Amino acid sequence: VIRAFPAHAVGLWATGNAALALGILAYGGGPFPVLVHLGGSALVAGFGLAVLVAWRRHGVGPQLRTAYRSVSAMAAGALALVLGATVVYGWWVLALAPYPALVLVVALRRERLPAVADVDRPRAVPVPRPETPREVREDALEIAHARKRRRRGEAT
Amino acid sequence: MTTGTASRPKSPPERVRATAGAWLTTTDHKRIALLTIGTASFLFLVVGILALVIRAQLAVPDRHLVSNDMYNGLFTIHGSGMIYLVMTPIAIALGLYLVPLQVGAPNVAAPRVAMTGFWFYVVGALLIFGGFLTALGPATGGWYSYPPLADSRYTPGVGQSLWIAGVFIAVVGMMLQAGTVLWTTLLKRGRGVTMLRMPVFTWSSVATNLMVIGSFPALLAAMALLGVGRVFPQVFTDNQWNIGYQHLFWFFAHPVVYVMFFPFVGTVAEVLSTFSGRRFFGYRATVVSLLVFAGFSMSVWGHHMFSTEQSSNDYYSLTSILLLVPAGVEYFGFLATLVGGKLRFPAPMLFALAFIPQFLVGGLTGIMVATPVVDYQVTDSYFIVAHWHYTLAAGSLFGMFAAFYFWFPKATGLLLDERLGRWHFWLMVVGTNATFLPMFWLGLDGMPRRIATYLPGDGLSLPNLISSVGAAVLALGVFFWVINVVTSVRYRRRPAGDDPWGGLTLEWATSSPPAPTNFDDEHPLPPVRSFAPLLDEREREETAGENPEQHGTIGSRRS
Repeated sequence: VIRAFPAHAVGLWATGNAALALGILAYGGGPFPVLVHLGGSALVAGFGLAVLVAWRRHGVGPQLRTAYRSVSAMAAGALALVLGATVVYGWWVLALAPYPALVLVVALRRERLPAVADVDRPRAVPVPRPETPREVREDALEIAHARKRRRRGEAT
Repeated sequence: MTTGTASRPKSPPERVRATAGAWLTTTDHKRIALLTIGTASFLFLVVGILALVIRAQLAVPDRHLVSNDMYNGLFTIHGSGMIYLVMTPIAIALGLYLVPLQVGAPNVAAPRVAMTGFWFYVVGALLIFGGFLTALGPATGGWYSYPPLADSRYTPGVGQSLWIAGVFIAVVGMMLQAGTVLWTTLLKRGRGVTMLRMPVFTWSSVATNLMVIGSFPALLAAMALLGVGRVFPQVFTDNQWNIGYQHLFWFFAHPVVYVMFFPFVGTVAEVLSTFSGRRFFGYRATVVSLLVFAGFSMSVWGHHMFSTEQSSNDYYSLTSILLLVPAGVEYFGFLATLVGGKLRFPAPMLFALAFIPQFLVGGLTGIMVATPVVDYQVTDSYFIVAHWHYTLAAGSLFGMFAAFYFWFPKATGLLLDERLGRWHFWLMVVGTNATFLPMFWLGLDGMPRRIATYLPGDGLSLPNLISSVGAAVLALGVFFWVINVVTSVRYRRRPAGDDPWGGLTLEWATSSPPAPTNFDDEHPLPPVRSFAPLLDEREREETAGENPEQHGTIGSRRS
């Protein structure tokens, strides 16, 4: 089971947990710990179900298309800071929330790489960069030639 | 040649990738993990200093170095910092760094989610430490902050509320990172990497992340309940929710101990097999034992509540003792891997070897306190503090340093200084045991935990003094580690090469540090036929009459 179906392995683990949860009842434990334990098992089972759905939809294999930067993650962190401070200091802190929220919404879509049909292997992520100076390119060319000569067994 | 290389301008892509902006907005799983581990390492030093103040306070009787309130704040932030902000993040982030490499994936699934996890973790840390800047100081309820003590009637001030918000957000961050790593392991493996060809470390990460997903939400519920109690403290007048909180909290807090050591069990397995030059013994049994161990760990939390009389003693005692079976299988695997191996003893191996007996002390005393009759006697005493620290400091921390010395060359391309590493190791061994062993005696002599001082006539002076001297030795060991890292990175005297140890798993097949997509044209993914693919390759080359040392840099790495 483990070899072929990773989702089943997760499901098996969750089922084992659920059985252990019911064991509490057999030993006279109260309903609350059983509910807590079953809740934890249900969360794992839910994760396993999501894995199963992804598996069935062929969402398997190396991640080839990823976002190239994560400004949205930073904005989400700032938003969490605002929300955390709101819980402690009061609702007025929420006035600061729209700024990171706006950045989050805008950045979320822009950071995603467009889907490319012919991607068949991992590629370097695009990074905004100035043009490579001539001397660097020449150096690289020289190194590449030296490697070829070494591979052919010629003196370098 | 070196001068020429140094004077040559850096290529622009490297320059761009090296900026702070590139690091802070990265989607590379390795960088996200390094940011998390780096932040956690810094916080390790900070909360370690808090522990030194605690030990200075307790070194001699009737000492008043800090006020009682500040003492409460110090042990609270030390305990919660080590758990929520140091060991747990490092344990999960180690998987974030290594798992995609070990399963041949170019990146983690949903890297922005993983990066969001990092930022949440940073925000959580800021909020928790922000308590020091408030009028009444930081949280003082201990790392579990039981109500009603932690509600607003008995612990006024913003520090405790900041702590609740900080713990909540930091733990959400850890869940996000764990979820992405588990998804990657299950669905994003490279070609040929089946589930039963994943290394032991990756399996330990699977078990860890399953526990995170199953148990961490209970802490969120507990923190929400405590937060409600800060606003409506009458909630905790009725004992039902006090006990309810304990159930929610310990349903998280027992598995989190396993979250904090499982990755290091995997680390020790990798280190032992690498430096024994052979496969890990009993791979399949170990995989099953890790999953069973993790499963049982979700069902033992009630043993923390024996003294409340509100948990089923028989059930939790039985499940706790059953943990010995999978733990025994893992220990058998450790020892059987060593027997007959060609052993080498660099710093990571020393830390891994020390992990085995020291963690055993923590584990076996855990079985003792999971027995109700013993627990009634020693609960809330220094015996518990000793048990806890043997698990996490003498165990997990040694596993963490084994991981650090083992994979530092992979992450940076640089070897750490072996001589400083040995100083670090021996000082840690002496310091750890001198600090925590006397605490068993202190507990048996009746010293309660979380007490700011004691009287000269209590008979607790000598063990406390030994413990404090041990803490100073431990700190000296950590100082050697810091010096080692700083000098190695600054002077760059010891380039590591791709595989300095003769590793067995896929991360050693790529460059050090690995390319942004982990494997590239110069370092392609090798064929994977077992959980030790590089050992397979070497054996294949030897069988074919080739000298594996002619290929790559295997020869130079062993020197």
